Amino acid sequence: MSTEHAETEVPQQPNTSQPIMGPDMGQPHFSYTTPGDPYQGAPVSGYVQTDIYGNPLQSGQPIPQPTQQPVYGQPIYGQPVYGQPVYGQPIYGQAVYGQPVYGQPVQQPIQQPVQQPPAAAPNVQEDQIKQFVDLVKNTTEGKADPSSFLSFFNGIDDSFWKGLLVGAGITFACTSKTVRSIFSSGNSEEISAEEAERLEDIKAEEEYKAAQAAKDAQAGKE
Amino acid sequence: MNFHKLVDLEKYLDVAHHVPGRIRVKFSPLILTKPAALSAMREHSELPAAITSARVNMTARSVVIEYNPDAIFPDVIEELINGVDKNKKAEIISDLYGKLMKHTA
Repeated sequence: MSTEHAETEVPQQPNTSQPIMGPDMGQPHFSYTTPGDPYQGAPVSGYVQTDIYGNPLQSGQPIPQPTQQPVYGQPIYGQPVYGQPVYGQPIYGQAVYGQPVYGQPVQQPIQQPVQQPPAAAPNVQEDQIKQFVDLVKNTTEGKADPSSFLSFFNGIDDSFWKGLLVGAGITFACTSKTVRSIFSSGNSEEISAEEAERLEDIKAEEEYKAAQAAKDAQAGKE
Repeated sequence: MNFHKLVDLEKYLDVAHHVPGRIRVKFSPLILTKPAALSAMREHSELPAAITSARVNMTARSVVIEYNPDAIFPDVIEELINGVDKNKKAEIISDLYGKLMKHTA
């Protein structure tokens, strides 16, 4: 039995949808290479820095930083394990036995988008009303444009027509002589007729007083 | 003609103006639903001689009656308008009716 500490090797497990759990406790690692893997961890002297494509860097070149692809919010892949760089490694999974290690990318809790209130409807109605007013104004000024009329009628919805009909009905009701007489109990004509009768009363009273004065004068003379 | 029923109709009538020889009476349209009023209008469609003219203004709901002050004394009319005793009013109306019919005849 060897007393030497043997480097712990991550057991080769068959591909499953579950991540391979090793001594790194689920941390992804791309230190394995497989036959046919172009990114062979070839034995080189010293620590060789390579670019993302695995090409050794020349001295003086800036050290490429690991590209962290935000996958659902947090970069999981590309984290070095045991201090080994992952330059040149693909972002998603390291093929083991030709199969991706992690079948499923880690997902962050999906934040529900904030539902904005439908603010377009009131603005649309205001625009329609303004457009209608402009059309009427242009028509009265003799600047009617058939194309503008067509575009207006094509863009309006049922609520505009309902509002238009309700407004027309209220206007008719308020201006109708019959309806006004009902609500006002016909007071307007009655008041004018009563005033005419009062004028006749005043006229008759003045005539009576004049006649009386003349009669008294006649009687005084006699 | 029942003059007491005619007196009961005074609640539908209101004298708006009166000078000797001319009286304007405002009426309520409800009086047209009373049988006593309808029968009086039906029986005496022609005016007596003492009444020179009668004009109805439906809009103002008033009737203007011009009468001969020598045949119908204004004091009697004033008593009929301002009096409280209904029996006395009935007698006044009866006397007026007799005089008017007598003149008509």
